[in-house]
Amino acid sequence: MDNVLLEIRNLSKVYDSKGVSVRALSDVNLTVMRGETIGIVGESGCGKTTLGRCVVRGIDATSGEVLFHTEDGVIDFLKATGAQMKKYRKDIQMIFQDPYASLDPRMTVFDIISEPLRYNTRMSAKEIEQAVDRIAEQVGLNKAYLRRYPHAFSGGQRQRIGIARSLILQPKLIVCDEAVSALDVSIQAQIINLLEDLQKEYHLTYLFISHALSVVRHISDRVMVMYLGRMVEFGETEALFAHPMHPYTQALLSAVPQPDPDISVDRIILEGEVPNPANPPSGCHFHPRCAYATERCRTEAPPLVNHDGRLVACWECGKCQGKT
Amino acid sequence: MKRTHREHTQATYEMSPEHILEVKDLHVHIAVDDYDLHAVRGVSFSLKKGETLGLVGESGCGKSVTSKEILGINPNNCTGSGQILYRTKAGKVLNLLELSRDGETYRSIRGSEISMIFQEPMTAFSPLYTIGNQLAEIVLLHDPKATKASARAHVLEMLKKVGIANPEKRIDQYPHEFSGGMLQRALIDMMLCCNPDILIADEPTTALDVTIQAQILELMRSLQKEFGMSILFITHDLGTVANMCDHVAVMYLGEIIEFGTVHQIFHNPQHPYTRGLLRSLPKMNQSREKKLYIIDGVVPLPVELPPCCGFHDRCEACMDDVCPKRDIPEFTVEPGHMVRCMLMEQGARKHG
Repeated sequence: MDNVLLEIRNLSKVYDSKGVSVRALSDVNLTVMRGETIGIVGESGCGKTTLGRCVVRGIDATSGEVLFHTEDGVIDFLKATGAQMKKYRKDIQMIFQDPYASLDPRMTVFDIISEPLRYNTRMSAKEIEQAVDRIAEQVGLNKAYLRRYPHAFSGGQRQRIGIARSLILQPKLIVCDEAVSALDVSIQAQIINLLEDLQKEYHLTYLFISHALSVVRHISDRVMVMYLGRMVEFGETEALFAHPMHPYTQALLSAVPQPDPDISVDRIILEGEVPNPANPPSGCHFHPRCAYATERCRTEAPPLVNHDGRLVACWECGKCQGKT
Repeated sequence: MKRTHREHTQATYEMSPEHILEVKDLHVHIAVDDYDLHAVRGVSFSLKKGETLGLVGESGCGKSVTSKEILGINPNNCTGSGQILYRTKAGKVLNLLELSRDGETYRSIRGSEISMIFQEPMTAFSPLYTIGNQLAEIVLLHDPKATKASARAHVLEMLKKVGIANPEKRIDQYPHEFSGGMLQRALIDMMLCCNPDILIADEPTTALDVTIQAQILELMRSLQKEFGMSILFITHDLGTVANMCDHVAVMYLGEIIEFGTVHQIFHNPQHPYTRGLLRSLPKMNQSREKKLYIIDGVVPLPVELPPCCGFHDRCEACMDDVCPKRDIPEFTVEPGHMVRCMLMEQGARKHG
């Protein structure tokens, strides 16, 4: 086995509805190494959730490949047979944003956490109970409360239940879709630390999808910035946050309010809003809001270019570098 | 909330001339099924003309209930006591808690003088009427001299002011044709139509993307400069507070546990909760290797609370013989900086 866990190649997803087709993802490429955390950031409608769901095959991508490196070689998750899916799907799990909507209110916490085991393994009832107890302790749930229903738990506790459920099959990759966004600040810190501890212990790989940039900066090793279905920038977290190269990344980072009244950022206030993905602008999708846009940006989509390990999709890259 | 007082029984109240709003020892009880939720437990603060006061805290700390009590729009199972003094545009000082909620006086204040914008702009508009229709309604309601045509002209002008592109077309569109950011602009517009003295902004940017949030905050700042209104800014986002507010009140379990200027709160926080909250936040300029600080446990339910510090069971510095057992008085750290924590009495400043 090599160090690569997952390769996403030219992944595209088009939603068709009533004659309107929305290109939610276009030609996204990403290589994920074992044990790392990839942050995926962008505003609503940029395709980050679609990307996560395509990876777990919760929705079927329109084209492209999701190559999963397993003990038995590389398999394309999107074309895998039923038997292959059954065997490998448990290696990829998901944690959802809304801890209130993602747990069945009619199942006890024990049933929720143990359900994956009942479907995917032939463990005895006793083994299942032991496994659930172990994982509950790990994520900080009181064993005495496992027979209760989700409504009896707070948001943070529910998110722990969701995490326990995703961990019970000992997956290799977890897609965290806004896993901490709905939580209060003090609870958010608890869950972030928990995710980090679990990653160390089980050598987990995370795809961490979030719009909260400071959280992404804290937890990710590498970060991908998306805009209207395309990757616009990708690189090492520290470097990307210190020196964003794409004008959109620069604006996005400058817009984050800092919890310190003395930090005055030269805020780049973007004009307008994210355009309708059903009718995206020509050329570079960002050009109508970009201060550096030229004629070429309006007509030709910029390719991702490697600048010393940083991938940036911008024709005018370099022009705005003095700004940061 | 039951307010049976007749309007003419309103006593005369004194208020510091520079203040426009004074909340004094406000308590709000919410009757839920078979128990009594003490949601706001003795909150006092004041608002000067033109300043922005941030009310910060996590879910359930009572910040929204406090703000809605000012407008008298809490549901009927809420009972408020204490004083909410407000200086009207006409210069009269009123205790809002004594007004009849549906009375003439309150209705003339609500919207025209104290206005509110909400977290979810998507649910603040009716989907059945055009944006222009809903905004013009406000103008017509609050300005008896307005005609349909003049109201429409006024709305158009305001839509331009809040930065909505192509207002002539937008004014006849329905809410579903607007994006979240644009609806929030329209909502701000709705509030501006009456030129209020106080704006209560309840998590106005929480549901918006960061770049849109930056636009809306910028808009609020410039409008405040232009119209000179006071803003009561309610949020859980400490980043936004640091950027928007002059003063900050940190709430926990229905109490203001720390109050000060934005610099005092962010640079010299004294209450263990404020400190913990600031430390548990991932920051953009801090090493990523460091683990986040954790405040253990969760916010308790404010039911049948004995006199105590609400934070004692989550506090690292809790003194078992004091904190859970008595009311915590206010201590002054320096002029304008108040903390409700027994550690201050001991002079044990360097805790946590």
